[in-house]
Amino acid sequence: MSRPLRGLLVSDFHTGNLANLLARDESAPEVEAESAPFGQVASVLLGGKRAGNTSGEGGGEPDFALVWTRPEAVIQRFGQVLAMEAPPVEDLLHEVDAFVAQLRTFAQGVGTLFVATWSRMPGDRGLGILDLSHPEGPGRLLHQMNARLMEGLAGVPGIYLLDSDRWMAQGGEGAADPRLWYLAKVPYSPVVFRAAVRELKAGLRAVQGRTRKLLILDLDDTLWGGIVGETGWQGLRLGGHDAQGEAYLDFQRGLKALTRRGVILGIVSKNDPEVALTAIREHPEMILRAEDFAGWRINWLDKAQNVAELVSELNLGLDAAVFIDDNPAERGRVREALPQVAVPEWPEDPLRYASKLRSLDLFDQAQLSAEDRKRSGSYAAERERKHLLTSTGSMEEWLERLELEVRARPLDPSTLPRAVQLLNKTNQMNLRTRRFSEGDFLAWGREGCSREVWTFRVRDRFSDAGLTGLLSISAEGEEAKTEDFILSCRVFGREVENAMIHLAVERARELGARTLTAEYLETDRNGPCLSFFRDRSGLTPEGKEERVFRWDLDRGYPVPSHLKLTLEGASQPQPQQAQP
Amino acid sequence: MKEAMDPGAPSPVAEGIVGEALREVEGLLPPGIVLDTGPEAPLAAPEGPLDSLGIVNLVAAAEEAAAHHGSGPVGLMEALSLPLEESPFRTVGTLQAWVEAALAGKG
Repeated sequence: MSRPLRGLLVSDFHTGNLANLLARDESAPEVEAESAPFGQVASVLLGGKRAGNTSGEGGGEPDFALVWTRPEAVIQRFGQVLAMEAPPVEDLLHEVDAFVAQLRTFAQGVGTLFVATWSRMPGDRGLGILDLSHPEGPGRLLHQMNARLMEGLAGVPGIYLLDSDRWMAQGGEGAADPRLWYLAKVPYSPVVFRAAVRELKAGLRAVQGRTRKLLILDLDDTLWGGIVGETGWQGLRLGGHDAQGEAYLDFQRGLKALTRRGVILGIVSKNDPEVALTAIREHPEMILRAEDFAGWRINWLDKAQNVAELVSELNLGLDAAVFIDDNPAERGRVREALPQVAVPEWPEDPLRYASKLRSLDLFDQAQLSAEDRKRSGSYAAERERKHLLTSTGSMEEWLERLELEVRARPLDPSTLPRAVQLLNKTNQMNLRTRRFSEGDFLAWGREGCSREVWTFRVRDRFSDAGLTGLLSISAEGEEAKTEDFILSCRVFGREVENAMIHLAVERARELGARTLTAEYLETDRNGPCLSFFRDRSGLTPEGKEERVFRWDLDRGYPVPSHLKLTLEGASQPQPQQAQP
Repeated sequence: MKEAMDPGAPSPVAEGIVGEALREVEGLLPPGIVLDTGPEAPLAAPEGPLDSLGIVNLVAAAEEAAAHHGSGPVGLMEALSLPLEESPFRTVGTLQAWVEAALAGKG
């Protein structure tokens, strides 16, 4: 069992309640939080690692930190703004820049840094109707400060901004409790801290790669109003001049938006498949069409069984799936049979479906890559590949006809976010299942001079899967080790794995090694990786349990003949292709 | 209702306010700490589990709970300055008695 994450809370106010709520929260991941001395934000931020030296077992650098401050406490001139002293705006924003610099320095000493944006209490009217338009309006200036904060931290590896206005909104008029403030320097009520805990936990899950990838939907009274088997698609409530119809349309729009950030959709519905698919194809107001769904199980069988089968067909784990159904009995059945599947409670009123969908924290991502945007389409391409396979005589012929191209490139800043996403989200073809934040992975790559990280982009005649492979090797003396060997489930099984081994062999030779090893570390999900190394890699198994695989570097390792491997980056020598 | 009760027992309202406040405060304590709600259970440190932040949380939670029960303030802010031997935060029972008296005073 993994140890709890260690967190450090940095603030100008007392964070004891927040620390305890975080530690008590039962949602994953488990957290132990420590409060830095309150009111000493600058010294903690500038103290870097020393400030984050958490006590207790394991000690050392915290896994994450949250910096949550009141604007007037860390930006002196904002205090002057509140006192209507009208400090120069440029001076105010320079102070924000200095705070940003402190945060960036501090981030180097923690695994992941969350920074809460600055808020005012919901009831604070500032300069009244001039608050946002007058140059001295506290509301206007706070927006400018937050914009500067966002610009200063955007894209910095390992730093994420959290919107504290959402937490205040949860508290409404009760967001602040003056008793807590004046007696204990706690500015917010527990309801605000609870909202912060939920958001922080969602952020931690995203950084750990625990993002849900698949959303499985019921059809009748979930994706549309009515029972299609009874009314036909013409009788469904969807769109039109009808409140419910509009609500279902908005819900579908929300689902479509999710597909554009990498969530794939599936259907599990008790229906006649031809009737249901006809509705999806023919209804003029449907936002989602058949190509928006990676797969479906439309039949009269048990929904839990169907969910499990669909997840398996899509090469995903149950812990990647979410199930939405209007029927509480079906939700209960799936929840009970498949506890790893997230089954959110769902409103009875369809008018609330779209807002409920937007409020879910199950799909938070630490990065949003081009590959995410294309993921939904890649499943449609996979259906075409399978169709080709059924019309082809042999696996070899199928591989030839795919026209695979693999482009390898050393890790660089442009590929770092996607590479870290792969590290943290890939479970099956993953040799050692190391998890890193962007900052930590960069730091790892820089430690020692004999480490190399390569990324792999894969495309074929049907689609460009994008950056879907990652290889890290390190060399010490005559031995090179494979540190990471990761390939997305979307492309494995086409011998891209063997092309990666080819590159590992060539780079290990270049680093002066004489042997290359790959040590398999078992998880409950990475059996496919062991199968590859044992059955299809050609490497020699060693050790009692045969979990270490070796290749003597006096021999070359061929590139599979059916794919074209290209090395990119600074003047890379191109590999010799094997003859078909 | 009140006539049938044990004269030493707190009224259901006082008991409800204190119980609700203790549940809220328990959620703000470190994991593993469960607040005993029996009348003899100590509250304030060093005998009890509540440090100064815990007591402030209890004050805020009890005042909120009183508001939920339709009562006015139960005067716990003022009680913070009392010496420990007079403090309502010694035990669950003394807190219930304080709230009971405050409610009666409002009566």
